[in-house]
Amino acid sequence: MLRSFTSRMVGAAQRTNSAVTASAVRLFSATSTATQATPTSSTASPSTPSSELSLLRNQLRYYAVAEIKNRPYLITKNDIIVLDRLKDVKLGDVIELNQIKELGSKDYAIQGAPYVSSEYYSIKATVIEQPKGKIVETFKKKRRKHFQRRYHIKPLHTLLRVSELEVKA
Amino acid sequence: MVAPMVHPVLKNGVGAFIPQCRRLVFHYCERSGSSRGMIEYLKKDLIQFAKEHPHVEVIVTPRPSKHPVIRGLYLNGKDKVVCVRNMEPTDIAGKVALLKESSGNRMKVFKKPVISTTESVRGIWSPFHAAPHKI
Repeated sequence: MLRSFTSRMVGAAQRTNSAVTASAVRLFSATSTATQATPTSSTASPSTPSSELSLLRNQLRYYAVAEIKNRPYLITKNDIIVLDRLKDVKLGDVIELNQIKELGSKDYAIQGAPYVSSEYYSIKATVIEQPKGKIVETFKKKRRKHFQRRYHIKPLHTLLRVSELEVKA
Repeated sequence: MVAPMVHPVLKNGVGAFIPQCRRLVFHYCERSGSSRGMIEYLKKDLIQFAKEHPHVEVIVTPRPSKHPVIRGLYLNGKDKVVCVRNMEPTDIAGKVALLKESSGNRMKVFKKPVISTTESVRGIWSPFHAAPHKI
């Protein structure tokens, strides 16, 4: 992938500042009686949720780390999530994801403890396909012991398309 | 000069969801024993299935002296064929559900949990634009 240094140099001045603040993650607790963690950045900004969110909302694109069935998936809008088959779901169903561990953009991220409050985002995924995967073969052998086994699995999947990933004001 | 063809970027599910299975064709033989389960399925369960899935065109055609077969046609023009010889109606219903829920793509190994075409949100790491390493 060709990296364009010119465009990076233009934004370098801004990015050196943000290189410090990008590592500054503001911690929000999921409970309502949350105490704000001290921000590690040097910028003095008021630490209320709406101002944090407005920082995030001024950015262009977002990602989220969603937890589905106890597994993390780093997603942006229009992505396809490949899951093990969900039994209680049909084609076309829209699932709202509400276990979000991290919600971020280029320079800022909100880390949930353990999850980000669902007032801050709206993330939806549509079930687009429930295919069968290709045969996966596991071959086990212990040499000189006359032991070998072949196991074949044809995994079942559910594909979700992330149809909406928005940060609320 | 003719302008080059612009192909739309399809993201099924983002705005609207369109089911990919377009048509299911059921072939059976009236005489042979391998079609017994298929004929029972066609009599019992097929009409219910067709009513529940109005977007799928269901065609039933005899195909004499051949094993029973279900052929699914998808929106990308590809088809999937499943032979259901000697199967019971419940197993045939499973195969029909499998065809109905697939897209026309080949079966493949999904190596990564997320398939994405968007650029990375935080950008690719560069040593010149990151905070210096501290020990």
